[in-house]
Amino acid sequence: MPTVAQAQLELDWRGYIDTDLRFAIEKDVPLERSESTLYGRIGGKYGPNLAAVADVRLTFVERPAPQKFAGLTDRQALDAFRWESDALYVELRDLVLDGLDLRMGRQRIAWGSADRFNPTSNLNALDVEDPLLFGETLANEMLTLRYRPYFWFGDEDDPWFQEFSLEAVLVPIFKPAQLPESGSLGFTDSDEAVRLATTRQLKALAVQQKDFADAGALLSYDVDIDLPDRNIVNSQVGVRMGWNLLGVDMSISYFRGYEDFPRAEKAIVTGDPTDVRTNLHLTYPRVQVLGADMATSLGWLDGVGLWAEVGVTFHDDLYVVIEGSGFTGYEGIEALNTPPVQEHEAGQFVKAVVGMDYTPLPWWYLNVQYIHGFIDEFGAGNLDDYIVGGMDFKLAHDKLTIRLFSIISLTDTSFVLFPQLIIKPFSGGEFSVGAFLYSGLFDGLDKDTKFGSPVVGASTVFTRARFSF
Amino acid sequence: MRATMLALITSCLMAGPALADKPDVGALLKSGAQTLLVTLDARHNDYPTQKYKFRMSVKSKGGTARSMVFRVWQKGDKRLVRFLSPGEVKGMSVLSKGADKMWVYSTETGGKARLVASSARRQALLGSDLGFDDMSQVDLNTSYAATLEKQTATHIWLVLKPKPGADAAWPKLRLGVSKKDVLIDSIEYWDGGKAVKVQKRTDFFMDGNVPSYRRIHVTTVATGHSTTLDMLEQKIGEAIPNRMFTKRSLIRGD
Repeated sequence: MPTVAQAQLELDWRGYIDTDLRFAIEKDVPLERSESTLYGRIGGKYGPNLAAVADVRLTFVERPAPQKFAGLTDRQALDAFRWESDALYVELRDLVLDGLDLRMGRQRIAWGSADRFNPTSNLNALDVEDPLLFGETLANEMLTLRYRPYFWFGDEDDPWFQEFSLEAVLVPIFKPAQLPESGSLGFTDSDEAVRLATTRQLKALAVQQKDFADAGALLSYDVDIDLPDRNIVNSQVGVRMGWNLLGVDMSISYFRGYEDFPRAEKAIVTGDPTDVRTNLHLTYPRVQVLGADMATSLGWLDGVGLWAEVGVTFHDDLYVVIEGSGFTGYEGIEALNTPPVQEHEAGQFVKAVVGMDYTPLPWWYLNVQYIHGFIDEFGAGNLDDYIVGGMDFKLAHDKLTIRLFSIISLTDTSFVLFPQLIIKPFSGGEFSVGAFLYSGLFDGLDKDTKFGSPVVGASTVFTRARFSF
Repeated sequence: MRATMLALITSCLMAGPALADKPDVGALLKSGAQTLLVTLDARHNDYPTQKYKFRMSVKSKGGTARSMVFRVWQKGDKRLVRFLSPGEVKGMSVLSKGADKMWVYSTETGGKARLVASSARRQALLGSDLGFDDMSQVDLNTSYAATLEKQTATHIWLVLKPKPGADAAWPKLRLGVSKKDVLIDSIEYWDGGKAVKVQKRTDFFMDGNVPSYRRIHVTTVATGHSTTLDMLEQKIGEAIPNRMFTKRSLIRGD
């Protein structure tokens, strides 16, 4: 009897315990969040052809919110927590062909070469709930087929073409971006509605509502979300091909799916001039994105890193419907008597990022990016320009890191400051203190701007601690 | 620039293993100090593949120690490093090919292997006295010219100075060569007329036919800050397929 070698199960795990305490820089210094997280990730391999990963995060959010007496008897209301998972998948490797892998389950897939701002990466919706974790995405259930054959052109030890890869992804169900609580102000605050209006008619409606409010009216908003139906037609798909040519990583990609930030498509205004009720319907435009990106290291420039990423988004005609016929006296109000408004003509727009990083000294790291089109901006006429830049100073043999980062809008000069002090006194231990400051915090600076607006949230100070194992 | 070259120099010297057939030191010296240096380079570096597991401990003078464990696969100028601990770097892997292509993978990057700037090689590993390239093979004789300084009962001391036009990191190196093992077991890095860093190799052992040092200790003279590398595993000359050094392998954890 011939013997068959048994595949051995290999397990690999890691995790951390993390605490996060933040206060808003406002009157009375309210608590912005107090969270404690236990994170665990375990990966397993059973021989060369089967692998799986499970990743779970349990966070106690410390937002006791019993509204009724019954809440006092409800542990979940008193001691709230949430579960998150960035990965829960099974992968079949070298399926039929050497280098062909099929991954099924919950995943996050990041495309693009830029740092955190990736106009070509659209398979997972962004998680912008926490500004300190900018660039994070929400995992989603997916089917991913990757083909990475081992071939090259040129000398095998120094090929001029290598690292070819082809990737196809199916995302059966669209998941929208997670927004911060302050994001609702963009739809329910009349001042913000005026600032963010993308058409003359929307602006007229917002101004009208502001006038009602100034005259003493009670404004109320009800915001409904209309997600795409769950069917195969509305599934999202993406294809990407990558390679390294003469030391330059390159890729081209295609995505068909949905914009993950919502837009107001319909406003139904009812009530009367003393009680204005607005029912908003938010939708997610169907888009197609053609992408290209590159990254390289410039040896002739002392090892400066350089990257560029471009995403061309194609979309249909997008209309806004303002329905005011249920409002008492609407006949005399122009803003409530308007036919469907074309907010965006069918066409395309380009988001782009160009960046570089450099380590001039072992303890000094620099990073700067130019961005055309911020993550929440949509439409050819609504894209602004930004500079994101920062640096790390690593001191005391990396026990102390001073990190300074900033985002500046070149359009309205509003900005974000993100200073941080990170202390790593022991292996696996990390403590940090810092602040996340919007320009709206500072007296004398315009609040009617990208980062001055209350929509972005409160400026905060924070302290965090993490034990990794 | 100095930091990068420091890394290259220390790397070459920490490689450790050497050929079993010991050359005649006296005969080599008669041929000149440079000939001895060429032979030493070959004894330290002349292996087609290397696999290591290291524990690196970093300690400031009177301070607490931090440690890191990692594995290294090396073949020519291709190198794969996987970090096993501490938790903050566990799961991170770095692939480098040649001097200017380096990819970093971690689960934090969303499954993406990111090409990083080669200037990032200057960063020290976990605040140590060593850099990422300290695992690479570098022959000193290509950048330095050696002269005999002195001999003792146990050691030959060579002084190395940069060759004209060479991109050498240090204006002067002092190498202590063990007569018994015909291996470098001590290096002093000189700048401004004094030794800035000192490297010592100890715990000699025979790994089959490969004579090796199990421990390397680097001290920054001015601060007393030190880094100790303990070799936990070593496999020399085992076959490593080229596709081990690809982004696919980096991501899959092959």
